[in-house]
Amino acid sequence: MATTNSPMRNPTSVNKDARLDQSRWQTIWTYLAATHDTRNETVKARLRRYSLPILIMVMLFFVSLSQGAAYFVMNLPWAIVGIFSVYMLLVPFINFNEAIPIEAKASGRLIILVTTFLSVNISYNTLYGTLSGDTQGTVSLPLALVVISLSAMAWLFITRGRLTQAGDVTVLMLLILSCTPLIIAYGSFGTVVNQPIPVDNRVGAGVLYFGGYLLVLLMPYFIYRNWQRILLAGLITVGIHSVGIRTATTMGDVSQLIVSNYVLINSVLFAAIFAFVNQELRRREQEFLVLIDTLEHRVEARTQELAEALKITEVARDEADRANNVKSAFLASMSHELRTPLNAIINFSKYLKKGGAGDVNEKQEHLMGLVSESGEHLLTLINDVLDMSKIEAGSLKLYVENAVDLRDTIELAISFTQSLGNDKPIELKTEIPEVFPVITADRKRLLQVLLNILSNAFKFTEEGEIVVRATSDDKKVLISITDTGHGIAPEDHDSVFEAFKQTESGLQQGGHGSGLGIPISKKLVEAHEGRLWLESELGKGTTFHVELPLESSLVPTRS
Amino acid sequence: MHNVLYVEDDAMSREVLGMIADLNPGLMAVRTLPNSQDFEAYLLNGNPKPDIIFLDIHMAPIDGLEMLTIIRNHASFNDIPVVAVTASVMNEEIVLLQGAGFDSILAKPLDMDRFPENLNRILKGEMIWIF
Repeated sequence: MATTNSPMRNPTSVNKDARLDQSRWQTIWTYLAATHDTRNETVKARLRRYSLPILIMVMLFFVSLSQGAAYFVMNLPWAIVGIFSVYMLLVPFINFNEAIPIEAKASGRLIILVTTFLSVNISYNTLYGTLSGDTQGTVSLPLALVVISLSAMAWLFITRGRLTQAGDVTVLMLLILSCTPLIIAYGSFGTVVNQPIPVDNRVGAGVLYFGGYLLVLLMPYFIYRNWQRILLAGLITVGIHSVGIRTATTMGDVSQLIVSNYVLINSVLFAAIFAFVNQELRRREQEFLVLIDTLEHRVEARTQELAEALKITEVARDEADRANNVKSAFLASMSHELRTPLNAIINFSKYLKKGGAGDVNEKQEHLMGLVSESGEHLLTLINDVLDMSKIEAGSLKLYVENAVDLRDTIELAISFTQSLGNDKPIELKTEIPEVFPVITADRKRLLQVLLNILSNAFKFTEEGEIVVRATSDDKKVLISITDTGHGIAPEDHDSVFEAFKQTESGLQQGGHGSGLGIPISKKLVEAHEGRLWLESELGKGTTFHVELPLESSLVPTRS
Repeated sequence: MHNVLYVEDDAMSREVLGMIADLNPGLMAVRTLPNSQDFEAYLLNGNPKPDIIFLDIHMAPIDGLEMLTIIRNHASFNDIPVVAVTASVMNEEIVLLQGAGFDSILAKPLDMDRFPENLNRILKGEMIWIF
């Protein structure tokens, strides 16, 4: 349970105004707590605003009724005028420091109400006495000034934010109200009380009255949270007060008891109301604090969850890294281990075929040729797999040079693949302008792309022609390789660019290869910020288009 | 006729260079060394300076990179073009070799048919990176 003196627990930053609207004391409390803009107030709203003062007046009315019309006439009008005038004039304009909690604002206004009432009443009393010369039943001027000063002090304290704790406010209120025994002791309250209190007992009475209040004050702060307890404390105080009155005055006149008690009752009622609302506030505050606590717990739990999830992600990432490293190491060794024997296979067979170890007959030459071709084919497959894995790992690096002569590259590609068409009635045509742009690119990789496309063209064309066309404009170059092969079915157009896929027709043709040539080419062209696509018609042929930009963001590779 | 020194621990690869020499008479005189110790001995013994040195990268106890440093620090051998010969063509390795200062990089298996042309281009000062 938070104590009243722990500012940290006062959630002033929260807009508690919004939360206070469910209580049945809404009218009174929100009225007290809110800052009013009276400019556009409806009559209904205005009446609501005055409900508390009205309530108080009704209370006083009934209390003072017991004293007869005289009291009613004498004191009530002053009270009405006093309270309403002050309230209407001042309260809406009281600019509470925003940092003051709502309960302090509300109880501050209560204090202002009460002290205003007291001040006005006392002022009237003094004035009446001074004017009529009858100082017997009036309050002395110094005392009046004391009460008024205390009221003003209370007002200042609260509005300037010196008193922000509800408990303090309650205490201050009761302090001020405890002045009334002094008043009663040293002068009667209002002219209705015609029998002044005997002087010789005034001190005693005052002590008793004051003592009664002190008793309430000395009780621990926490009782002020409970309106029942306050009522109880008030009743005790009333009891003491009454005893005091009875000792101080002549017995029998109960009306005096009531009259002098009315302030006490009022103050007790005020305190009770205040405490009740306070209790409500505190209950909500507790709820709110519990909510905050649970929120804190929930946030903590969530943070915990997230931390664990992060740990899992980190572990997963570490494992992924490790897996990647293993894969890289594997590929590195595979690259090395697989290529070394190929050195012997390819080159030894070539050597033998060329007669390096002596004359060979036709059959031997033929077979050696097949061995070296197979070796080279195997090498291509290994290179393709390596390329693909590099591409997938995102680690394919281009070796970029300035001024790569595309014309040269195309012609080189043609010269490499020409022999593939030796056994077939295929005519190779080229349409390349004499002057053709140079671009910044990886020469070797572009050659690889063209070789892939050309070898595909030769592979899938039985007869006819393969045309290599090169065109350019001021933004890009376009290299198109058209064959008169059997074409690619529309549903297979996309899968041509997918790794490891061979089309139905391709397989039927007995096509071997890794199925990686075109996919790799596509990635290579895209790495040059270009495009690779195809047009094809079954039975007619296929055209591959390679488009490369003249300007790209590629920069020459410097080691 | 170029004098070629080839340091290579794989016997078959050494043979391949010999075969290339056979098939291309007058191209080169090949001298092969099977390991780095022999290479160091060759350097120490004041042997004739080759026109070009081919170094296999994956050797032990000293690999091709270290041997390159030795050559570059040698009084008279430091201006000979040195070509790296490697069967591993992973990016990391290539970057390493490029940064080490080899004059060219050839990948195994060697392209027998283009070797003469490549050799001449390297000797003319061209940097060939074939892998």
